[in-house]
Amino acid sequence: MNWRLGFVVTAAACAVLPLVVPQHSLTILVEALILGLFAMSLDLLVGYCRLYSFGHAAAYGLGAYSYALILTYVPLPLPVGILLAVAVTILIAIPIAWICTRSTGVSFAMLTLAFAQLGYAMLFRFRDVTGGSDGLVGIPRHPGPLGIDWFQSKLGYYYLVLVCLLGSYLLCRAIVRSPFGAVLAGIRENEPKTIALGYNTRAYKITTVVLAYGFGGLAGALYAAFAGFASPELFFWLTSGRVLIMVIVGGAGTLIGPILGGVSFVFLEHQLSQVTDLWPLIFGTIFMAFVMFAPQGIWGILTSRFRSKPAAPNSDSGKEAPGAAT
Amino acid sequence: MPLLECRGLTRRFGALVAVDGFDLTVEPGEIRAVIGPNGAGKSTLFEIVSGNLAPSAGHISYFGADCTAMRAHLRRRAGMCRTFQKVRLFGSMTVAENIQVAASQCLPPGRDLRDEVAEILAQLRLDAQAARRPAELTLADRKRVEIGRAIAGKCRLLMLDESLSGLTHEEAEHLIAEILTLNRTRGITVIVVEHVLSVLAAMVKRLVVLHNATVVADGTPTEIAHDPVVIEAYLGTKQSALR
Repeated sequence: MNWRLGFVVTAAACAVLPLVVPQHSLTILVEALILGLFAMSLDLLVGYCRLYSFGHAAAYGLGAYSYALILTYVPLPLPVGILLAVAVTILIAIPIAWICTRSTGVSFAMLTLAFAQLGYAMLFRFRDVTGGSDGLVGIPRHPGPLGIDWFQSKLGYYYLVLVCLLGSYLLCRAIVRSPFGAVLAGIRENEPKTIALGYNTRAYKITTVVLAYGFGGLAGALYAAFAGFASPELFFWLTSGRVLIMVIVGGAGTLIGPILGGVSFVFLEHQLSQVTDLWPLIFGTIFMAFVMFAPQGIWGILTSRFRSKPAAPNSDSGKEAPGAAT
Repeated sequence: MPLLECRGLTRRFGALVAVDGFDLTVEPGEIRAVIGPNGAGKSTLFEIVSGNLAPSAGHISYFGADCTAMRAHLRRRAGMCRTFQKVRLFGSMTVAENIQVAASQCLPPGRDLRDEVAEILAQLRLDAQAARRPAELTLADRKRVEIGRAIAGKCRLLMLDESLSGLTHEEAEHLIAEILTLNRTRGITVIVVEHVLSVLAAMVKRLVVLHNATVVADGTPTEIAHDPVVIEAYLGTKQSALR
């Protein structure tokens, strides 16, 4: 199916969905879309740069707390507050990205985790500002600008989140398909060779980390505005682990896959937790099954039947045998 | 002015000396070879010259300017290009895209990107493969793409790391002809690293022999083929392998 048609059909289906489901399901729908956006932001790192962040909760938490703090002190309209929260997240992400990208592999993962845990610890250290373990509650959603207030209702907020998700997806898609994205593909496949082609790969990685934080911060700000509170758990390593699972289960390097992973995660968690207290055990089993039997994720499974197989090499001399030139 | 000058290049890995006091002067337009058995230090030398490894001692000049501390991506932008021993193209991109991603970074001002890609595809006889992905190519074509990617944009010096290995004699001859064409038409200076002399005789006028991290001979292919030190140290007594 042409992707534009697919996009329009999906967007239309998402727009109609809240009109046909029970009102109490709206909360889950909004959370699912927000977590889908959050997972997609991590996919920029995991799927396109092979940078496994174990601390992406920092982006989510930064966005949420930035929004909460801004709106606590300044009665700004919701869209302005969200944009400012994203800007703050991006500003803080720059030094984090600069430090983390000095390393790769496990070291990168540990550094990102360390920054997220540092943020978590600081929430308790600066209790007067952050509310400590209680977090920040009663975060308002002011109307405006120009008197716009449709996003104050739950249904209206759903559409706001949907617009943010679809807009972010289009932006991310444009990024990964641009010349910038081609360099990211090079970094993912072979960084030394990408350097040998004249690219300052670290600058690209810093930019990608900052972009991922920006989109993650947007998800966090949307969550804080929706839930009306921001708690330290948003920074905690469990949040980072959850979003990494969403990316892997959904299908890394696809953008759509992690969105599906995030949405599936929320619905499964909701359904399973109503049936049994052992739902994390079932979830862990599902995750392991994906890692072992379907590493391409949900999106990979869905699209595998449409994917053409690469043609066979057109000569027998397809393998390197050093010294055979003699 | 020499295009490249290496003086006293040394690289140690702990107690192991991979390259020891290496000297080399390459003039513009020249094709020079560095040969030596496996483990002689040839690839380490390329790693140092291309900026991926810092030398433990010595310095490198490029057109008279010291570039010993210059970072790898900046050397590439200055026209110092290289291929790698193991051909690993970007598998998610087509042949044309592989070359395009390289050309777009180092394209000289006023040069059209599409023209550059088309010219390289034509020069390396890759036109018919432009829309294919690396997995669909033969090894010889993959090596061509690797070279095309290396020279795309601005290239003054091309360092070929065992680009002929794994090819049949016929494929190697074709590739040598194309390298000679690139040298002639684009004015690219070439340094070839190989571990077998016989394939290089048609391409180079001078070559350097590395053995146990040090230079043991420097001369024409004929001189090298008859150098007793090379025969003893590099090839044992099998003189026939040199010719």
